[in-house]
Amino acid sequence: MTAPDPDRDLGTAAERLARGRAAHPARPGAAGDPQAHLLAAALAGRRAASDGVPPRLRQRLDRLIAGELDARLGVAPVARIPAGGLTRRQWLTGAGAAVAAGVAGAAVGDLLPRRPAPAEQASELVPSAGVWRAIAPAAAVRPERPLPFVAGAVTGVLVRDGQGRVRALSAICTHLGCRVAWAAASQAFVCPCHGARFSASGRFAGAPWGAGYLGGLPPLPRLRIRITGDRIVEVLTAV
Amino acid sequence: MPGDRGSASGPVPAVGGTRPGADGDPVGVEDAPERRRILTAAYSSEAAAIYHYVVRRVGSPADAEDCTAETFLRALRGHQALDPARVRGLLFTIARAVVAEHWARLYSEAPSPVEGLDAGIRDPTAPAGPDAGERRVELAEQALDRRVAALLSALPDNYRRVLELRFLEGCSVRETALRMEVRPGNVRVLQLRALRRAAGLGSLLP
Repeated sequence: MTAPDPDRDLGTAAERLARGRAAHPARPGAAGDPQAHLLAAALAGRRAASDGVPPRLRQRLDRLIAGELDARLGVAPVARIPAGGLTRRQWLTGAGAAVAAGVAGAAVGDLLPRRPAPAEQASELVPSAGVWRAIAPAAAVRPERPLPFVAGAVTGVLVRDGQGRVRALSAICTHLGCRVAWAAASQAFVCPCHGARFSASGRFAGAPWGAGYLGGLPPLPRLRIRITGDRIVEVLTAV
Repeated sequence: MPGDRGSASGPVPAVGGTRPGADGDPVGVEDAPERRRILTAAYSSEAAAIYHYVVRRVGSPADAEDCTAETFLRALRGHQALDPARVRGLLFTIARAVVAEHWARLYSEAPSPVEGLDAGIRDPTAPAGPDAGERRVELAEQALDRRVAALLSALPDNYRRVLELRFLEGCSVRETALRMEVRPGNVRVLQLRALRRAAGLGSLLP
């Protein structure tokens, strides 16, 4: 065992993250710099998050949940999942396959929807210490051209819905937080970062990554609005 | 026109939207079909959110997969009553603990670097609105973004650049060297110094 070398430990740990590799379990970075390592992880993790959810994670969760539920509910042969669960390595090698085989195949199909639907219901973004801010005259919100705004902490857009009523949506993509822009040609909000599209009502309307993404994306959150007596649209936002 | 009034105005209560089961009582372990339905639905809608939360804090997809699977396993094995309106809060509370354990394993002899990270995400049974879990997670994500951005912006240009290229953009050492016009041998030295400098400027923790 050589003497602890903080530079080498941090250097190795950071290099693994830069290359998208898992932390080395046999090389704890005790001599390194935890905070510097955490920063490297936060940076590399942001990149990993933008790549979406690995498809094999879904398969792994399928098996895990089917097996565990069946075990708990007593509806099928009990899958033997070791205490503490399976590591990635076990899943990739025979142990995972053996456990998966122990789970009744039919149960997986019955239990889990083939394609999880994204949340249909738009959430409403309501700041806990909200203030009403005037955005624009209601007449300025035209059906064919949403009106973007930034008010306090909130970045949003005013739209008119199918009935001609004014609505406010968050303009922040529910994938990774880039600001969406209105594409007049396709009449949709498009995220410049990864191409997610949202309808004028904020509903997720597809993305270049297709159906592989777990459950699509939630809709753009709605913002609470009110119209003043002199026809000014105000949005509830945070300071 | 009256329809212009849009969403209801007034004070600022917690609003969670309508959710199946959100109005009901917590579901006990013995209510098997209902529990199955809730867990299955939660898995479908929450797995991506949990994965994203975790990967932003452990850094590598492989470790994040392990942590995500572990989170769901613990949720499934838990014997607490299941409140459909607070599944997300429960999952994130577990995910936070799993992330902390990941770091504790790597730094067994030092204080865990994530001690205190996202401390706002805690007791899912605390009285709060049905969407409190979402709100806490949203705030935690924003806070992490802000702190990362603040540390980066406080660095000298070449330090910030090397971190962006290597970690955010995933460039190889060689590519980074080309783009920064330094020798490849200097890239790893530069990134190490940059990480140490950033860590010395302040913590990612609140």
